Amino acid sequence: MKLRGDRPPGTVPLPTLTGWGAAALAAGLGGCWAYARIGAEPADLARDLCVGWAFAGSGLVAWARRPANRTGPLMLAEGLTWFLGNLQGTPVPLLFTLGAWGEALNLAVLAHLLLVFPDGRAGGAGERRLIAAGYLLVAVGGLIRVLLYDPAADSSASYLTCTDCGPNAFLVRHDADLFGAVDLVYRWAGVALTVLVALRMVQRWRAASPARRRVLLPSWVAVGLSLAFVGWEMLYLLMPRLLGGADAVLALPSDLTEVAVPVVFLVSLLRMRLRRASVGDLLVAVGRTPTAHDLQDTLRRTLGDPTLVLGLRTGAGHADPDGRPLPASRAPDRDVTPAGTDQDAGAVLVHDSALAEDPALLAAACAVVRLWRRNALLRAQAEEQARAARTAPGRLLRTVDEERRRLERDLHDGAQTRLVYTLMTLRRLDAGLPSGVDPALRRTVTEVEGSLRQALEELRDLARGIHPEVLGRAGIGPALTSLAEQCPVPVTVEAEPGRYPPLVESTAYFVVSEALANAVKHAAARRIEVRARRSGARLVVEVADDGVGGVADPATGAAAGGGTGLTGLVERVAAVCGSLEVDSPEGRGTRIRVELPCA
Amino acid sequence: MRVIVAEDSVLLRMGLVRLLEERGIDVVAETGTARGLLELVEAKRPDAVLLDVRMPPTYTDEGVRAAEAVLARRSGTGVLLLTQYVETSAAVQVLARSPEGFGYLLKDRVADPDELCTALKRVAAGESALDPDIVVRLLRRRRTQGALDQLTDREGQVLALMAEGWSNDEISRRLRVGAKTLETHIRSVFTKLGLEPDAGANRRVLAVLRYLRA
Repeated sequence: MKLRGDRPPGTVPLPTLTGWGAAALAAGLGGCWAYARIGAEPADLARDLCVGWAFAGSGLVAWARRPANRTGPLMLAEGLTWFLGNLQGTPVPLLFTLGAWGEALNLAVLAHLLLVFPDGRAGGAGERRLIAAGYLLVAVGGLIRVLLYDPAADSSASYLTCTDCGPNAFLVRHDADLFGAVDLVYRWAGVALTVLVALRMVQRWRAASPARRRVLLPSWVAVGLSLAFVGWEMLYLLMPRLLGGADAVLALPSDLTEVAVPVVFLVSLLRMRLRRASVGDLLVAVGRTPTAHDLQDTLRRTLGDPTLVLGLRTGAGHADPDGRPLPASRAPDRDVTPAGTDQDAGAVLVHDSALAEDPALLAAACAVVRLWRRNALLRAQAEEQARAARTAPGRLLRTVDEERRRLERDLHDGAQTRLVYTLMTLRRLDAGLPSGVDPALRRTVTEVEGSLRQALEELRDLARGIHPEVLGRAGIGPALTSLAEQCPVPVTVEAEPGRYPPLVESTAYFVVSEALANAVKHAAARRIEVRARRSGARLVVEVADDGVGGVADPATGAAAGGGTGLTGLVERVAAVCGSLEVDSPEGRGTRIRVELPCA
Repeated sequence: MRVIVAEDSVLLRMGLVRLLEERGIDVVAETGTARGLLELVEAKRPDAVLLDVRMPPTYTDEGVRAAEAVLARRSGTGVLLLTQYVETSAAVQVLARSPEGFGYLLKDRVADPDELCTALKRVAAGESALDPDIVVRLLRRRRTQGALDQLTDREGQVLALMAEGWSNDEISRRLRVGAKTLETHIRSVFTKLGLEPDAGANRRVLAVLRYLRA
């Protein structure tokens, strides 16, 4: 059986990941070399590597885990483009130009990343336009700027201290004023775009469900830090003098932003792992055989989606644990994940679309729901079987009881009637014999008649043993009196008038019959009392004698004396879900009490 | 004597009708079910009904209920109930309501035409008629219990005949004792068994039966 959603479709081949990892490593090392060449401190280098490699590393991990999601490659791209600006430190003019042109490319990539996080897809046309604007600004604005940029003249125009950089291979014409104006426009455009991106992020946050907010948290942190960075940059642009050593001060929030984002992304990944570990809690919960309600609560807690609904199959559709039918149409931002197998869509999870972000977690939750359903099914089957096993003896007895009634009636209607008729005919024959007939013939007829009467007698006893006619005709009271009539010991019968289900009457009759036989045969009783009455929905039958007592309780096996034939009673009574008590103190008689449910 | 035969076995019913007619008894109707018997009795007004305890559809108490219904009319139609078993609850049930004109006979008895016809005549005349075999059984049981130890042999015989429903005249004829002597015996039996003395032959059947069944 294939379980859906255990693994996202497709995987990124390991060589691809290793190749990109090597590229990030090389880019970092190359960038650092160039950075060091123009006099970067070890601390600067370390910070630079931290940020770039953190992005690239996080991106590779995210890509490997969710190949279908563009977030991972974007983070990797962020890590690679991070080092692009450092190319300005190389002695190769073309590379310098490339570095100067793409210095801000990583910011465009970052904007892209923030806008598509966490799905890897832009939410709408507005977002797509913002992303395109970011790349366009770097491509066109950066190109125009680099055509006018002379590092020897404008050494403070980059984050690098670039007095020895260059020369710029693309430099068309140097004009300090023109370059200053272009640079300022370029930067303000960047600030404006950043603000727009931030505003879009705030909008998304406000519209997001709790589950989505949880997922959006990393980008939110990034936005917060970006805004701080933008604030600093604006201050620097507007009041450079006020800040004095602005470069150093500016570097801090800028770098903080950049370092924080991959770290927060990593934390987010880690949290997903932790959340996945909490699937264990789900399993523990399932082990406690929860109700659908309890399971839904546990799922909500574990998946962090308080709006999650566990839908269970009812007829054509699904219903929540309270039995309310789920709407057939899909609500926006809500996903319906079938939690059943391919053959059985017995359960669905209706949840925030954001949960699709971690398909493996969702798949685990679905697996737990399947397990729960299978448990419930097995438990129901086991209970059904146990119930069937409990009622089977009763059903069997009822069948046997009905068979015995039928057999007795057949004997009565068939053999007995025919024997009576034969007897009648024989008497006619006898009466018709002439007076002078051979005495031997008359003797033979008398012998046949005697034999016939004997056969009738035996057949009658047999039929009565199979099923007492009086029981079906008049019920348990007269049947008990009939039993008493046949008992050699005086028996008083107190029976409330009333009828009970046939099997209850037969069982009561059987119990009393056995108890009487026992009292006469083993207990040497001189008087026996039989009582039968209705108590609620039960027939209560008591047989008490004044015999020797000491009869073993067949139910508990607590043998007080010589065990007798009461064991058969226990099984017979248990088969109709009744109870039997035997109280038989040595020398003080025996009291048997049987309760038979009439339902 | 005019009789209705109600017996569900066609074979047995045929035999019974033939037997009764050979004895000069007028079988005015025969039926295989207890349903409609009362209407039949209303229409034919027989002296007695010969009735099987077990009749369709359920073969349980249809015959007993039909007997009760016929006797409850108190129109002088007696009922002779035929039973397969030596078991007296049906007899006690009917007697308790209608002590007159009721008989209870073992089915084997139909092989003895004399006894069957005698019993029919007795119920037709409003007397009781209980099968001697049933009475013998009950007496034997009570005797083994020692309940009848105080009775003399003669008193035992009187008790048995009373249980069978015979009148005093018939008992004195059978036992060849005078009416006065019989009455002494009867009183003695009742006193010894702690029963209320009852002159009526039909009513004392029930009292004696109840005593014997205890």
